[in-house]
Amino acid sequence: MKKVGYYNKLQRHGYVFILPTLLFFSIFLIIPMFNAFQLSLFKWNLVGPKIYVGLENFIRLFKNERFWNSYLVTLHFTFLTVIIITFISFWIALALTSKLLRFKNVLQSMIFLPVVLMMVPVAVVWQFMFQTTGLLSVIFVNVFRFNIPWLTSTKITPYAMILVYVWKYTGFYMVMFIAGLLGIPEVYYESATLDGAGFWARLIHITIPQLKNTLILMLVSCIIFTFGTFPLQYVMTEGGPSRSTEVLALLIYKEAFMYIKFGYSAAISVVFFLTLLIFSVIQLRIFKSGTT
Amino acid sequence: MKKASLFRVLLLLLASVFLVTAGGQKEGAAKEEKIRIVHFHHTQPPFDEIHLNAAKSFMTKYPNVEVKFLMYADADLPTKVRTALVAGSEIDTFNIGSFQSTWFMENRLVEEIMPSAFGKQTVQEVIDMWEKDAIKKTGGFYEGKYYGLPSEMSNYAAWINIAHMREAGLNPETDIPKTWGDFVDVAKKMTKDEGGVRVRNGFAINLKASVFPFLILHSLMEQKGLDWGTEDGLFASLDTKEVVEALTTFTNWATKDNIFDPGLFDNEREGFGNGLTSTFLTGGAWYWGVLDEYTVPREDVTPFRYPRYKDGKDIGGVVYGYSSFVTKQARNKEWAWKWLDHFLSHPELDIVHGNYQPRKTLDPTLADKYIPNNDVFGYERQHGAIILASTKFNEIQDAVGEAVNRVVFRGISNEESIRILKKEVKSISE
Repeated sequence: MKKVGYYNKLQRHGYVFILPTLLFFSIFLIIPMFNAFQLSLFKWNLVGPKIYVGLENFIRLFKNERFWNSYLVTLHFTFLTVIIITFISFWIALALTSKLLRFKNVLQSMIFLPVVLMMVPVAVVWQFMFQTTGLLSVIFVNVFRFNIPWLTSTKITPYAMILVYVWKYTGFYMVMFIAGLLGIPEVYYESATLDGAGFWARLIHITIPQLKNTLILMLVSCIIFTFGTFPLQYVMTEGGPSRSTEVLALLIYKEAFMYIKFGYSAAISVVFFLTLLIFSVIQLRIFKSGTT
Repeated sequence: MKKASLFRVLLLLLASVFLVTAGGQKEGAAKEEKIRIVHFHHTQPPFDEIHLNAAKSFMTKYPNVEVKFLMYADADLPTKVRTALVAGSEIDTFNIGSFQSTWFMENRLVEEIMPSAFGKQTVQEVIDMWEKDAIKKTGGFYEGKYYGLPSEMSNYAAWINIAHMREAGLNPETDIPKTWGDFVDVAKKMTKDEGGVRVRNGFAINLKASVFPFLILHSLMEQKGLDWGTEDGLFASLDTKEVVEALTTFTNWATKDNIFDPGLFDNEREGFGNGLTSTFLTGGAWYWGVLDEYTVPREDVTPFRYPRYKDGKDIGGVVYGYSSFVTKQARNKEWAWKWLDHFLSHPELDIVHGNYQPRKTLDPTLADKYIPNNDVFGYERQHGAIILASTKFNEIQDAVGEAVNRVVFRGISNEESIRILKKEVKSISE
C-alpha cells in the first residue's frame, strides 16, 4: 500500500515537471493547429469578419494549378533530398565509425559545422556563389569550360536548392547514424567475421537491420523537416525562376501575408499537415510490419 | 517542513509579481500624463536621420507629447502595420507606399483627414496645401475621400551610365535612346561578355520581385493605349494584340536582344551602382542619394525620359508615392494629425537627397538645385502612368511578374503567357 502511494506520488510529480513543456506545446503548437483547421473553413482578410465558406477553400485549391505546382515541387525536393541525405550520411557515418579512418573527430566536426549555421546567411552566401560571376561559375568555366545557369534555369535551380540543403543537413543525420552504429554490439560483427561473412554480408545482415529504429527516426524527421523547407527558397529564389522552386511553405506564406487570404492559406496548410501525417503513418506501418 | 518551504516560495513569488505590476502601473500612470504617438515608417538611408530629427523637434515643441518612431524594411512594413492593427498594438500613424495603401483605406483602418488639426475648416483647404492631384497620385485618396498625406511623390525615370556609352563609342549628347528600338540598340553596344560569361548587362531588372517588371510593363501597356490604372481596364486589355506587343518588348530584352542576363545579379539598383549594368528603369530622383552609397560616381550617370513607342502615347515611368495615415485606433487623433503635419512640413530637408515631397511650401527652385536633371523628372512626372489602385495589387502584380518569367525562363510564347495570365487574373478577381 505504501509502495503504491509512493509511485502515485512520483507520477504526480512527473506531471508537474512536464507541465511547462505541455503548456508550451499547447499554446504554440496544438492550439494554433486546431485554429488553422478551423480557419481553413472560413474566408478571412485579417481585419474583417470571418465568413464561413465550408470546403470552398479546399475546392479552390484542388482546382488551382499553382497549388499543384507547389505540391509537386515540394514532393520532388523532398523525395530527392531525403534519398541523397540518407545515402550520403549513412556512408559518411559508416566511414567515421570505421577503425581504419584517421582524424575522425576533425572530419566529423567539419561535416557537422554547416548544421549549426543559420539557413539565411547560408542561402545568401550560396546565392553569391551561384551567380554568373560567382565562385561556382568561375570554377566551372575555368575547369570544365562551360557555365551552369544555377539560379536562372527552371530545370537546374531545383537541384541547386537540393545541393545547398544536402550540404547543410547531411551532418545532422550523420550524427544520428553514428549514434545508431555505435549502439550495435561488436560481438555480432565478431561472430559474423568468424563465420566468414565479408563486408557486404555484414552490412546487409547485421548493420542495416540493427539500424532499423535509427532509420525510421531519420526518415520520418528528414521527410518532415524537408517537406517544410522555407528559408532556403525564400532567400535564394523567392520561388523562382518561374515558380520552379515555389514550395508549399512559401505558397502558404505568400497567400497569407502577401495576398491576405488567411482562410485559403490555412486550407493549404491543412493539406500540408495531412500529407505529412499520411507519410509518417505509412512509414511507421512499413517498418512495423517488417519487424513482425 | 517541506510544506513550509513551499509556502515561503509561493509567498515570495506572489510578492515579486505584486511589486512588478505595481511598478508597471506607476510607470503607466506617469506615462499617461504624456500623449504618446507611435509611428511606423520604412527605413531608407539617408532619410532616416531626417525623420528621427523631425520626431525630436516635435517633442521639443510639444513637451507633453512623446513620439516613438519605428522603422522597418520597406518590403516588411505592410505586414508589420497589418499585424499591429489586427493585434490592437500601439500604432497611431504610419507611412505606406501607394501600391499598398488601398487595402488599408478599403478596410476602413485609417481616418479621414481632420482639418482642425491643421488649423483649417475644410478637408479641401488641407488638400490645397499640396500640389494638385498629389494626394491621389501618392495613394491617399479612395472612393471620394482623402485619408493620407504625401511624404514622397516619385516617378521612375530611365538611367544610363554615360561612361559605358563612351566606352562603347556612343555619344551621351546625341545617343540617349528615345524609342524602345533605340534603347535596345544602345544597350546591346554596352553589353559585355568575357569568355562566354556575361560580366555587364546592357539592361537589368529584378525578376525575383514581381513589382519591378510589373511597374515597367505598366508603363509599356499605357504607352500602347491600354488602361492598367484599374482592375477592369487591366483585365480588358488582356484580349488585345497591344498587350502581347508590350509584353514581347519586355521579354525580348532577355530572350532575343540578349541585353539582360538575370543570372548576373538580382538587384538592378545595386547592379547599376556597381557598374554591372549600363541601364535600368526603376529609379526615381531619390536614386541620386542611393547611388552615393555605391562605386559609380554621379558624373558617370544620367537619368533620361523613358523611351516611347514610335506610334505610342507620350507616357513615362509610373508615378507613385508614399503617404502618411492616422489609424482608426489612434488614441489621440488630433495630436496624431498634428504630428503628421509637423513631420511633413520640412520638404526642403528631404529634397537635398533627392526626395520630392509635393507640399506647396517647397521652394520650387530647390528641386532644380538639388535634383540633378530635375527637368527629366519634372517632365516624366507630368506624363507618368498612374499606378493601379487595387486591394488585390500584390496578387495581380505577382501574376504579371510570372507572365514575364514564364517567357524568360520556360520559353513559353508571349501569347500563351498572356492567355495563362488572363486565367489567373480572372481567378484573382473572383
